[in-house]
Amino acid sequence: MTYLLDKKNVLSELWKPTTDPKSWMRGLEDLEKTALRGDSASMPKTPLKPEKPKRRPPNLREEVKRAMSKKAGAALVDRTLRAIEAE
Amino acid sequence: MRAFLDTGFFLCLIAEAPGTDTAWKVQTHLGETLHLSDLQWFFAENRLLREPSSEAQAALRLAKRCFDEAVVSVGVCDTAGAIVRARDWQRTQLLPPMLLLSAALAVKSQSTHFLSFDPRARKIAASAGLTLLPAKL
Repeated sequence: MTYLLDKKNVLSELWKPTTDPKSWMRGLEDLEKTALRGDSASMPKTPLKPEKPKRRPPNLREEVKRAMSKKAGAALVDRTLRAIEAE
Repeated sequence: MRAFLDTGFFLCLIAEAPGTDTAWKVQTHLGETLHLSDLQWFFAENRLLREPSSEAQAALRLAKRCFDEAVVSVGVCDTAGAIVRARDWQRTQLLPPMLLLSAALAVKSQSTHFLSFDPRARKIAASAGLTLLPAKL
């Protein structure tokens, strides 16, 4: 469907009341060649890179370090896990 | 790949503990969002909310930061299916329910990697074919 619409648009551009019929035919042949090539001409030469995951803030690890001492944090993890296991 | 956390590994991301450095190294190495079930988060959050310490409050704040920054994602898992799997396991391995459920939830959520510091949970997850991280304790 897209090809037909494009062709129609291009034909309307090619055809003018004053256009030489031979020139018009050459334009039509060029259009057919382009259609046979598909969209490859307009595609990027290098493959698209996969989308990168959302950027992580580099300081999140540092925030954890600043939030509590190692001793207090270790005790919190231990307490929390023990409590969850007991429930 | 899909990396699933057990509750202990998640707590090491949000509280400064002996495993925290390794947990963040694993997260950085993988470079993608880690997955936690809503059931695990419910238990961890419930426990932290009931704890009056400033460390618990900080851990809750850091957990929210992890979710906001897509470091960890909390998702709805097939809990009923995981319970069936955990019941199968508990016939041969008498372990606490949440420990069995963590590994079972990882399996039921089609995870490929299981992130845990608990040798008991790691053993079950490995037997179910999941890749363990960190590779060695």
